[in-house]
Amino acid sequence: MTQNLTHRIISAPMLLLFCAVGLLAGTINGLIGTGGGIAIVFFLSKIYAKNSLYSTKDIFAMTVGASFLMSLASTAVYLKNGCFELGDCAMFILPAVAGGVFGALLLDALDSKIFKKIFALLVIWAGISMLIKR
Amino acid sequence: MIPDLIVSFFASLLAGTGVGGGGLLVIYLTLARGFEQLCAQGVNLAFFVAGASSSLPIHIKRRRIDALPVAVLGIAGAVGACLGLWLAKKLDARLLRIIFGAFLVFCGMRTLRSK
Repeated sequence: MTQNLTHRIISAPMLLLFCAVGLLAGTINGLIGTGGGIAIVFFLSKIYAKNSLYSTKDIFAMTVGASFLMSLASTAVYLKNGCFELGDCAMFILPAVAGGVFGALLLDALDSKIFKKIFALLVIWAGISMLIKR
Repeated sequence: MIPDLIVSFFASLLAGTGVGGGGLLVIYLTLARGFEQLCAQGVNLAFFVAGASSSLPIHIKRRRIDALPVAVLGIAGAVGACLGLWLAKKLDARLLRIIFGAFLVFCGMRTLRSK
């Protein structure tokens, strides 16, 4: 990302669109506990950053940033409503921190196209399993 | 315990590289560990926060983050999150799982079709 893009001016209509997309992404995140990032990636890549100097990796990093804020809020709301307890996720936190560091470091080195296709098949299989589970 | 650690590490790694992985923990917790859907979603959110809190400083250091769009999306998203959980609590657990499953199939198909 170039220096001038970090201070890119956002028009009032675009700001409203940002709010609407953020609201939609947050609602998806709160409803199913994931997925808000997809709405943000779509918006940033197809609308806001279209024909700009943002790279795919910039867009992904910004999505992680926005998703972090809304997931933090979602987590707080889920905890407040007693949907889960911190003890339920203690086992998953430490590996998540380590995995996050390795993932961010690999982002610049990895050609993720093949991984994405394999992962997509896994996700479809899991989705069908969820649909047919009683 | 060991499978929990392995799944958590790789799901976070995949999420950090942009391959995906956000829903992987929910899938594991509901299908393999028998967690309630809403509980699994909550754990997944906390898990994502932990993973992102470690990867975000690296992205910031590499100047990949444009602060204003991220802040606006994140704050509006926080409001949306409250609305989303309100909806989730209104819905039957099975219906919520069906929505989640349909969402996974949609995302998987979309990724397969992308170039």
